[in-house]
Amino acid sequence: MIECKEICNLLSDLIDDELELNLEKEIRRHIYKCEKCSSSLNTFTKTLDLIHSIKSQPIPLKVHKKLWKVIYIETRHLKVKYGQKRRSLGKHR
Amino acid sequence: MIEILKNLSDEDLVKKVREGNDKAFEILVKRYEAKIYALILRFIDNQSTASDILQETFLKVYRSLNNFRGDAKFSTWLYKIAVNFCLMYKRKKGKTVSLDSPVNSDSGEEIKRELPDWSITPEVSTENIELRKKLEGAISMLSEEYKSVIILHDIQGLSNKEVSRILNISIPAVKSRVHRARLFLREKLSEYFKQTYD
Repeated sequence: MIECKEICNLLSDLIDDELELNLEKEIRRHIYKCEKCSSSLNTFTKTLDLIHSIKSQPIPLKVHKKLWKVIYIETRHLKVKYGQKRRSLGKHR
Repeated sequence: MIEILKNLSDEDLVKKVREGNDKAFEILVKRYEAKIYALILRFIDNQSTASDILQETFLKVYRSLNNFRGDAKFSTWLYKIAVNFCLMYKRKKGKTVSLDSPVNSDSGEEIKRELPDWSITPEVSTENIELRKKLEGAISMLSEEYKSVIILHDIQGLSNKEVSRILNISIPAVKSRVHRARLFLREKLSEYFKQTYD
């Protein structure tokens, strides 16, 4: 018989679909009958839904421009310093 | 030419850069700049510093491309460089919260480890700004070792294997940290629901 505490430790594996089928079935049967574990799975799932809903914001234009300026300078600088091909670049730096 | 490059895989673009094709590097930067900036911003929480680390990351990538052996995906290598810069910066700054510490509310009271029923609460979504803020606050409270797995695994959507390579820890360690961090975040959100709907 699987205990409530063990189920708490396996919630991530259950949600991430990383349990063996027989163990998953046993856990799901327990959760179906156990109000505490059912509530625990419910709140855990909602927390994960919220975490997963965090989307990357677009990069701010100012940050983007600064990055590209630096990259432009760097790529031109290295070409002037080491020539068009950068195959041996690692040996120089 | 650019359109053809855009369809290439990361690894093929890396080959092109090594042959001297800087347009290929630009495609790689375009492909990852927003994701890497978002990642860095989660660690650093300061736009100006995050912008500096973003530049450092791509400069390091460009300068070190010849050291990229290709036994991991390019994206894994890129993430690893960005995370290392973030962790180095954070180490200099200090301040983390261990998950072994008791969880305290904003008023300083220790949170009871009990499970509220959220079935009566509104739909969890990003539109719920207050809840989102609570989550962001809880993520920022995590110690670096837990924060990094939650960011990489649950927010950036990387696999256990990728996270394991980026952080140089075993896959079981990734899974364990992800689980503990999720439990911590649930507990912090539980407090919010209890306060709001009791």
